[in-house]
Amino acid sequence: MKKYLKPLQVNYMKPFNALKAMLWKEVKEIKRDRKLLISTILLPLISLPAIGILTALLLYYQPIFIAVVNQDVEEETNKWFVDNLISDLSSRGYKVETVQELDAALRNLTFDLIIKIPLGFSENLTSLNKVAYVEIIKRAGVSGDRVDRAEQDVKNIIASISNAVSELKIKDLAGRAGLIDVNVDAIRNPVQVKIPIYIGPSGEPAKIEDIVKPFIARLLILSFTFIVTPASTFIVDGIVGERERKTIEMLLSSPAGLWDLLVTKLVSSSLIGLIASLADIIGLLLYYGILVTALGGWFMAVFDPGLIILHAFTAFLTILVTVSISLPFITRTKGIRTASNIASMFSIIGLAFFVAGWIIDFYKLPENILNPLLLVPYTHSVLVIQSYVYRDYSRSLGSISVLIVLSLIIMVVSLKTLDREKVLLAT
Amino acid sequence: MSIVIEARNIHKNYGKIEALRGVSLSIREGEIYGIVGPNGAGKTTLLRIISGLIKPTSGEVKVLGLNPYTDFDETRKYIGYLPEDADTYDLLTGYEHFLLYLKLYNLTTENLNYGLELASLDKRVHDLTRGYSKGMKRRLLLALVLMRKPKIALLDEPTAGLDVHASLKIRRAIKRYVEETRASVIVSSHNMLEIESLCDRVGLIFKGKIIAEGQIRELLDKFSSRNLEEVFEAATGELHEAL
Repeated sequence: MKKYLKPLQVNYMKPFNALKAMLWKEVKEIKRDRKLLISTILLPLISLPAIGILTALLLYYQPIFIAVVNQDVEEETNKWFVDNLISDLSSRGYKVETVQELDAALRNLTFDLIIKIPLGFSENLTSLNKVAYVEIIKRAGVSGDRVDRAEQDVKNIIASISNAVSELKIKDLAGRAGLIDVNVDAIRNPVQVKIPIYIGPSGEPAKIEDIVKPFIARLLILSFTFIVTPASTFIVDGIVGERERKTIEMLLSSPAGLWDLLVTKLVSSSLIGLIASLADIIGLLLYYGILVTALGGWFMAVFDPGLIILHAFTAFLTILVTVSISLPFITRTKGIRTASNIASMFSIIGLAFFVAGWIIDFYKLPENILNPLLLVPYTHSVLVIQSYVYRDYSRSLGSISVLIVLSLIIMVVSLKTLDREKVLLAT
Repeated sequence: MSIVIEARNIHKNYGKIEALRGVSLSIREGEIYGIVGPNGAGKTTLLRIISGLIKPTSGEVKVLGLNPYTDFDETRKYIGYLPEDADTYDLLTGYEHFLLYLKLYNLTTENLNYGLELASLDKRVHDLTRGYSKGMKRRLLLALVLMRKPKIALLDEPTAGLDVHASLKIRRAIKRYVEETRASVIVSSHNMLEIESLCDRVGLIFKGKIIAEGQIRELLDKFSSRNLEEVFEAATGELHEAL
C-alpha cells in the first residue's frame, strides 16, 4: 500500500474522544452566546424580585375601597363604634369612606366592600338581651381574594370592638352583683386555643428558617418548570436548528457519530438547565434570606448547601428526562416551530407535576395514589426535594437514584429509536 | 487502477418519491469522477448513500469492499464528505473548526498545517466564521474534509453559489489534493463547465438514473457535442424518446 493510501492512524475507538470534542464545541458556543447566558442567568434572578416589587406597587396603587353606610347616625355610641372601625381599617391600608345612602354605595363600583350599620344598632349594642348586627356586602370582581381578606379584617376589628363592649358589660354586671374577683375572659371565652407552636420534622420547636425552608422547597419544585423550558428550546435548536443550518451532516459523517452527537446535545441542553437552576436557587435564597433577616432570623440559615446541590442535580436529571423523551419526536420533525411545539407539549407534562408539587405534599400522599405516580420520573423530582425538607434523607437519595436510573433508561431507549437517516432527513 | 467504489442497481425511495432508480457506477483509485445533473436529479442522495449516511432501498454499494451503511465506523475512516450547502458554526473561529475536527479525528499538527494551507484563510482563520464570505466558509469546510487526507472524498456541489474567483480557488484545491494524494474524488455539480475542467470521468444523472457515463472526450464524440451541456441535452432528449 502506498504511503498516501495508508489508513490514518486515527484513534477512533478511544473512549469518549469524540464526545469530549463535541462537548468542547458545545461549551465554547454556549460561552460565546452571551445573550443566551444572560437571559438564562438573569431571568430568574431578576424575575422573582421584579414580580414581588410589581405586585407590591400594584397593591399600593390599587387598594380596597370600603364604604361605611351608617343608618343609625343619631346615637353617640354609634359614632364611637364607627370612628374606631374607620380608624382601624385605615391603619391597615384600606380606603374607607362614609356614605349616607346605601343605594349610592351599591351603585358606586369603586367600593369593593360595604359595611352597613342598621338603624337601632347602638341600642342593641348597649342592651343586655339583644345582639347588634353589622351587615357586610361584598362586590364580586377580580380582586376577590383581597376582598375576602378585607372582610376578615373587618370581622377581626368588629370582634375586637365587641370584646371591648362585652368587657364593659361584664364588669358592669359583676359590679351590680357585688362580685370582685371576675376575669372577663373566663366568662366571655371560657375555652380558648393557645397560639399554635411550630415544630420541626423531629418535633423540636421550629425556628423561623424551618418555617421558611419548606416554602423555599415548594418554590424550588415549581422552578423546575422554568428550568425545563429553556432546556427544551435549546435541544430543539441543537438538533433541528443544526439540521436547518446544514452543520449536522458533516458531524454525522465524522467519528462523532450519532450517539456522540445526540448525547452531547442532551448533556449541553441539560447544562443550560443547570445554569438556570443555579441562578434560580440563588435568586430564591437571596430573596428569602432577606425576608428571614427581616423576621429576625439568620440570613445564612436559609442557605442550605445540601438543598442547593440536590436541587441542581435533580434539575439536571429532570431536564435530561424531558429532553430524552422529546428527542425522538423532535428529530423526526422538519421545522423548528413544530419541534418547539412538541418540546413544549412534553414540558407541560412536567409542569403539571411541578405545579402539583407546589400545592400538594407528595411525601404524604397515600400509597395507593403515590405508587402509580412513581412510574413517572417527575414524581421523583418532586419527592427528592420534599423528602429532603422532611429530613428523610434516605428517601430523598432513593428518589434521586430512581431518577438517575430512569433518565439513563429513557435516554438509551430514546437514542435506540434513532438512526443517522432519521436524524438527517427527519423521517 | 483498482475500483474503490462500486454501486450496483441502487434504488432509493422517499415514500412514493423515487430518488434513485437503479444507479450503477464504479470509481477508480486516483480519479476525479463528476456527477452532473439538474437539481433533484438524485446527486445528493447518491453521495449520501456512498458516504453511508443513508441506506439504499435496494441495490448494493461497496466502498473499499465494505458496505458503507452497515460498516459505517470502518468506512468513515476512509471517506471525507462535504455536504451540499454545509455551513460552519457561527460562534467558532475557523481555527476552532480545525481544532474540533483534529480532536474528532485525533489528527496531528501536520494535518492541521495542511488544512490551514488548503483553506488559505490567513489571519482571518482566527475570526468567528459568522464574518466569513460564502467562499471562505466553503474553503474552510473543504479543508476540514481533506486535511486528514481521506482516500475517498465525496464533494457535493463544492462551488455552489460561489463567484468565479472563489470557485476557481476551490477547484484548484481539489486538483492539488488529488495530485498530492492520488485519492479518489466524486464531485457533484450542475455546473457542466466546472465538471469539464475538473473531472476525468463523468456520469450524467437525470431523474434518478445515470443516463450517460464516460470520459468527457468519449461523451462529446458519442453525442456529437461541443460541450457537456450539449451532451446532457442530447442524452436527456434520447431518454425522453425512450420513455
